[in-house]
Amino acid sequence: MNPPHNPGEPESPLVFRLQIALLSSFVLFASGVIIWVGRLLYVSWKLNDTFSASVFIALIAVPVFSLLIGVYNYVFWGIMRGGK
Amino acid sequence: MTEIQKNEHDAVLIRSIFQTPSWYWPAVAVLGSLVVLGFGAYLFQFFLGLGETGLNQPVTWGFYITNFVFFIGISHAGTLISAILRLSQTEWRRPITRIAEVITVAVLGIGGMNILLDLGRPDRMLNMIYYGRYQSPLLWDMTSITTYLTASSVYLFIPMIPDIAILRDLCPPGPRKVFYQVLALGWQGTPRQEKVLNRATAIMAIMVIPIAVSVHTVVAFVFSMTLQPMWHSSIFGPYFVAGALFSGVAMLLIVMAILRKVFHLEDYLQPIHFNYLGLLLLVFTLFWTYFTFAEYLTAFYGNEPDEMRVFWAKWDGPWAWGFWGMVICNFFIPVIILSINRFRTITGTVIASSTILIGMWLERFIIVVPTLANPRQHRLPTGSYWPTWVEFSLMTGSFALFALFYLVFSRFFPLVSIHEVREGREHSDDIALERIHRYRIGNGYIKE
Repeated sequence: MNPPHNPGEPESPLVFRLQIALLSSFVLFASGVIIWVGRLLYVSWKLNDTFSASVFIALIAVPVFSLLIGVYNYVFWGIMRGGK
Repeated sequence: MTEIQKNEHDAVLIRSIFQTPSWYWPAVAVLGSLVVLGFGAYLFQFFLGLGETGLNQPVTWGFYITNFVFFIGISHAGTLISAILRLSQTEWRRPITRIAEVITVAVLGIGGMNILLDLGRPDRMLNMIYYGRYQSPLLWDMTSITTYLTASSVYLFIPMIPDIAILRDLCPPGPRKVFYQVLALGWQGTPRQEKVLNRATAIMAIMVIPIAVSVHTVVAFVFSMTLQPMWHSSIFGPYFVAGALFSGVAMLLIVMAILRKVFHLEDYLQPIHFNYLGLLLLVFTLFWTYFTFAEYLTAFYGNEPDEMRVFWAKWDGPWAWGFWGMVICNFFIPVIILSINRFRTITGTVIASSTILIGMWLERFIIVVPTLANPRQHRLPTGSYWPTWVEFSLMTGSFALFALFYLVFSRFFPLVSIHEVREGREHSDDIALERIHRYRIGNGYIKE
């Protein structure tokens, strides 16, 4: 086990804010990709343009990015809370 | 004094972070100059147009697309070594997982960048975002590469958290300490944190393998979904994946040898690692040869006129230098070196890996160019292609950027996972024994 960093003392508010900003940026990016794929799906349905291909790719991309958001959040909050 | 400072061996892993080696800044200057040269060449191309390159009609893809396929292929190093070996609990993986994962993240970015270089109007890339249609394999590519880059970055970051915490504890107060504090997420190495880390790493390892396979399959689809001769092949997907793993392991071996020398990692990257990876490389050499044989024999036996024009152009035509160079570099030299125990040393594996990288680059080149030079549309004349200084500069810049990425990374993070190595040192005997007990016939019996 590593020697504890500042034993018993929480991280400074600046560090916590930056950590939240890091998490938010990732969630925003991954959500952006999901929204983008969803939009392409909607457009292909609306224009009747290769909807099946869009569904197939969306069925892979959306769960993968959702899982990435889940894993990142799990690591972030799991490690933050696991140290207390 | 912290545990790491007391441990002479592990101290070498963080030395380059706190003490700048004498060669560091000259190396950064040289590589930075090459990147600047590449950037200058790009500006030249951007303002004067693609006419300044060797690209023409009908050969509209050249060095840039070759480099794109080559770099994306190399990115499979991280997945294979890190994810597969981690899931199979291979003990010797510990010092090399991080090195492989960094290769993946670096080359994916550079590979993607080569697509932008190929566009005379890079702003038109936005059309893919605004008006993309999933009918196009190019959009499949964009989606899968974005997914792989994101997943690989997360997969690189998660196992790095304990090492970042070590750096946080060692760092004097200042902006750099804040940087490590932010990324360490309050890691203290408690059992609960270990559990979260191990679970997340396992999930990511399982996740990145199919994503990596899909990436190079989709890259192959960009070619095979067209009706062009010697592209329209059903085995192109697995052929590209086999080639990607092949070149990925070769690149990993070269990077390992360089890092071993310059960062004095002899205790961590031992001859046995090179021997095992050399054997793996030999297996991939044979796989690649099998796929190449199947691909070319099928085209030859079919004897379809358009296919045969491309076939002969590669066999004994204007592109024969590339084809036979590829065969020599990817088959004859590696098989001779890697199949003989005495030659499978660090030097031997590095020589074999170097020829494989050259051979795999040639393979990508003779897939891309000869087909475009001999298109199915007979109205188009037979084309030719030779790159100009712009393409050579951008290619050199791409490779320099890869090396520079590694150098910058080495200033902030350990290139060998301290946490994994330490875990191996403390627990690998118990883990290995427990695993043997699980499958040994007559469970529980230990031979004295």
